[in-house]
Amino acid sequence: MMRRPMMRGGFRGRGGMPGRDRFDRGPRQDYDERPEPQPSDAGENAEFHEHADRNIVIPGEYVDDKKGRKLGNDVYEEGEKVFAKVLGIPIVNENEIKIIPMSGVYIPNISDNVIGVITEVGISGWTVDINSPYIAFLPVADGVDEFVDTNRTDISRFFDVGDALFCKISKVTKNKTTRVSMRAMGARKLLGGSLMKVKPVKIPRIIGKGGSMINMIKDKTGCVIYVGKNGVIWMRGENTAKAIEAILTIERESHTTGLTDKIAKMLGGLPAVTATEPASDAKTDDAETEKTDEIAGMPKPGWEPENFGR
Amino acid sequence: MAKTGEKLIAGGKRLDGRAFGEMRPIKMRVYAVEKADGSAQVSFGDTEAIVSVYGPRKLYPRFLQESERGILRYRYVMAPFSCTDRISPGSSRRGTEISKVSRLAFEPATFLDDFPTTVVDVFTEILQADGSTRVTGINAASMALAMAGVPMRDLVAACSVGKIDGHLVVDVNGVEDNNSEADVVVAMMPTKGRVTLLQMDGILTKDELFKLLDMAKENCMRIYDLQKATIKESFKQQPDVAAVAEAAEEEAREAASEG
Repeated sequence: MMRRPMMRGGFRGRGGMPGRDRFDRGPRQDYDERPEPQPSDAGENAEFHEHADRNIVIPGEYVDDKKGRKLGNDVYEEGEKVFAKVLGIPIVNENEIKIIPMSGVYIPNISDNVIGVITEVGISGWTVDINSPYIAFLPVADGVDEFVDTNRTDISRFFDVGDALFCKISKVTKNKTTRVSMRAMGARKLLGGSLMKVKPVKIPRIIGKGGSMINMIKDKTGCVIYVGKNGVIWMRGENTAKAIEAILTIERESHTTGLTDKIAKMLGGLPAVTATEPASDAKTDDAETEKTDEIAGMPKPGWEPENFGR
Repeated sequence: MAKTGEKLIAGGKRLDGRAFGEMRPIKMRVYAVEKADGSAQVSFGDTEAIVSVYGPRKLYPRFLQESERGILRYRYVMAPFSCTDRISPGSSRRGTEISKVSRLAFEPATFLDDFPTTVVDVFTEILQADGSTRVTGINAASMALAMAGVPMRDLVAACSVGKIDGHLVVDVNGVEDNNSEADVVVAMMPTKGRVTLLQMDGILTKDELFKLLDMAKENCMRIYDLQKATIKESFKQQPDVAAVAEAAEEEAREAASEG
């Protein structure tokens, strides 16, 4: 029999104390003090993008015989034969047959890091727009580290409408009802800066193999950049215009080879911002940029430390 | 013989000089509507259709949502200026019917189960009408769906065939359509050999129908090859990266010299 999940702050097991767990966790960390996420999603996909031989298949096109291999994304089988479901680049190796799609919307997948924007503040959580046909829900318990009595607290003091979050998909049901969580490595609220959207299928290429591409853009432009798998990119810094240009170029040319070199060349002629002010400074100097970076026209931060219920 | 008494076949050729099994010149392109998730423009002679596809996206009102699968919405309209009589804009009785049959032509070809509660919107606009508008729309919609990344079992290729002056012909144009003895519309998944739409108007013998179906299938294969080539070609015609990089460098140099 399935057990109903316990509410946070309720009894944990027989004989436990109400709300006991919240005392065990130590002081909470501010979101902006958390470490920057590593581009772990960088993905095998990036590698495939680079090594694919530009052999594009269209829906319904024969890819290969199955031969007992696993079927990955966006393929279907008929008898022994495997066909493409979408327009993309086929990846065939000894274990798996799959397609890297060339276009398409973001469909939430568990443990994806995404950037969402709060669209609604509810009673027990927030509704988050994750640039997908499906909207996500962020429960209070997964959004804030401390215990919050939702009967007495206006939770918009934590996140308000328009706030951007770097968070993780924690649950996706069969019908694609989606939950996100801030209990993840690097999850944080994104203050100031600007958001841009690209095609979600281009994200692996933008991150590059082992994060090579995005790290290069970060280094060369000195921007702080967060990339969500849902195609939303947040950035803050002096050279955002250049970073945006580089990212848009990658999006446009993602199926071509040797892109890293091309982008390096493109960013190579930047005025020497990075030379006088090393990239590492720009990254660690979060707190400083925070103060100066109230960019006009952005959604209001809506977050003041003194209101944080401490 | 046409209803007006004119001949539709003269000297073993059709009025526009085509042989019986010959299609009109076909033009295809994708990225016809940059804003859309996927788009295509197809013309068969003077018949021209432009299609944009949006989605899968959220479906509102909510009561239309299906919890187990996504739905397809297909809208076929003719532009008011598309033919000599002005067409009143918006949906019509004829447009509603064609929208429905076109949607049914795509439903077996799409994997909408992958996107529960969503909708894929297909908007087909006929810019010029000279017969066979629905098949032109279907051919364009098929490419637009592929470009939008909607999972499909196969592209859908469609073709019209008919009987004029006792001869079996393919790709019926406007005059032939109005005066034909019979016309048949076939949409199919070419690599699977499965028919997804079959409509007939007029009178045919069984043999004639089967012969026409064979002709239609053969032409659907040709159209499919064109669709495939057009989509693949579109990924080669991208702006030159070197040029982009050079422009960026120049810009940076200018900025540096100004600064």
